[in-house]
Amino acid sequence: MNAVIAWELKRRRWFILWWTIGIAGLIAITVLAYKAIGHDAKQLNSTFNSISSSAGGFFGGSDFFSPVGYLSSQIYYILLPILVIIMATTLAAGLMNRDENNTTVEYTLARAISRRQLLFAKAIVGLVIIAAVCVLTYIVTAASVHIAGIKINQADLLTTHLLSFAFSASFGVIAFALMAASQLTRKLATSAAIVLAFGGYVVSSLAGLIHWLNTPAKFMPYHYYDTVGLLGGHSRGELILYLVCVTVLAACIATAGYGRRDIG
Amino acid sequence: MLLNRSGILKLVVSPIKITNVTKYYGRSKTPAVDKLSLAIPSGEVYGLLGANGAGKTTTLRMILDFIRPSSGTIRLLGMDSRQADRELHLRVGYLPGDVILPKGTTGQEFLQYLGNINGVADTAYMHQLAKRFDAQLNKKMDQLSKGNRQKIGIVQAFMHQPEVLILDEPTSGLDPLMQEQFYQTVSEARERGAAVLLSSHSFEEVERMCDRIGIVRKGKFVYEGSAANVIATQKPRWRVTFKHPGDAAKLKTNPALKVFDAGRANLTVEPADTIEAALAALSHHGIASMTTSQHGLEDEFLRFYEEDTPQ
Repeated sequence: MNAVIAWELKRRRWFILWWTIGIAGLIAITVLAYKAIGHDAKQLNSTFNSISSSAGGFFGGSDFFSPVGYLSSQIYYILLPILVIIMATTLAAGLMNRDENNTTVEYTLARAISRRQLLFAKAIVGLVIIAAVCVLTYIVTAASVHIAGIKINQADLLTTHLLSFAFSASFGVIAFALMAASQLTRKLATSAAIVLAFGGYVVSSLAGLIHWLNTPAKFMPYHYYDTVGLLGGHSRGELILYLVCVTVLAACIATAGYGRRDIG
Repeated sequence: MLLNRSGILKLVVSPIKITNVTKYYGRSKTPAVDKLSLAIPSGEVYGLLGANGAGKTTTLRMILDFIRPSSGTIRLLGMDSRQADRELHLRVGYLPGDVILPKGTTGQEFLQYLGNINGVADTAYMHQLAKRFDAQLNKKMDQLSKGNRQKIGIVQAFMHQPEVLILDEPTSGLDPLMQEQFYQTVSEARERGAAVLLSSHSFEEVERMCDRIGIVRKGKFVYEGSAANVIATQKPRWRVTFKHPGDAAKLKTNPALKVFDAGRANLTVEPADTIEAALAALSHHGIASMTTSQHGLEDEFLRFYEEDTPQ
């Protein structure tokens, strides 16, 4: 299993590098822009206060220019999740589908490794890559926040960054599990994860505006993702519960399905 | 059961044993493989022949548990293929039909990776094979031609000297020189006692390498036995030229003959039943010349598929 982990990580070293550069670069540019507008935060906020709280839901609130509001609306509610969701679903497809589509997975499975071990190895590779990008981008974020003079508790920033990554990566976990589960779900996995992510974002955001969406919104992951709360040092319980549930369910579905379905 | 050299009873198990295996894909009502049974003992090379879609690759992939049979059992080295453990896979070599290798890596890295999974540190035989096949191990896979990728595929299948070899169209893309090397490698594996199951479209290589062959059509065996036997048991085919042009037409409907080709003064025929009856029917007419065409495995293979050929 160690051989598979080492092999897959080596093959994806450029993936880690480019995604880290891309995400860290965009975060740094966005955070450093606060330096130019931070001193006008009060005035800008009073201008934007006229926006309805429902419409503000699309951006994670209506406070856009306080330190917490800016990081929430500009980084953690939209930018980071979009990038990490795309990265995580692409990674899941690369780990599960690519080798299966071109049949190279057969060389591995013909060797002394079980399907369950292979699945576990690929899951570990996925987690290591997400963790690596998360840590590296956090370092850049923390440095940028410091340079931009944004006053925020570092522990809250770290927790928010980790949980944002975990939340966004959960859609990759869902895609990974669906790809492992069966031939039918394998074909639909990426689309399903993307629809759940962005459809959930729209439904959760509109729930404040359209009353009857309140109930379906509770079934959407974004409902449990409150970035203002996270940056303020709370709202973690429900999100952590969601992450634990998704991980456990995904692990069960993937293990049960991959052990018995046809490969290729 | 056999007595070994020490006089101890030894249970002899076919390394590859397929019993009544059927495979349906998805909701298809037509099976890709239909109640196929097969046993290959150690030291035997078995060739699967069949047209595209006959079920050869499906059979090979089921043996390695890449796909699961809808019914029936497959035993690999005495163990249910679905329960195959790490130790068992150390004793199996596999070459897929389409040798696609991971891009961006070299053959050396790929072989090293596969060796690492098996925990095999000894790479002497791997290098010996790479030298024999003149495999380009230091080039990136994307820069290799089909034939050169095939060589790396062959090396990875044989490099751990497995007891069972499953090879799907192994000589595809190899030049005649490399094909010779491949036959030699298979022959060595047989001498070592390996059971080899291969599929092929090349009749020449199957006739040359295989102790037994199975011709598969629509997922079923239409023939199983030695290649020499399938040729020997077939009826002769004669090309007959008559002295009197009208005789050919008279014989076209004779029940003792099966007519394949009819000209004004000549016929290509086979005995419909016995050779004696066919010769008797021909002997009533003046024959100017009569030749027997030589049948190879390919002719016999085509016969099994004749009814599928569009008219």
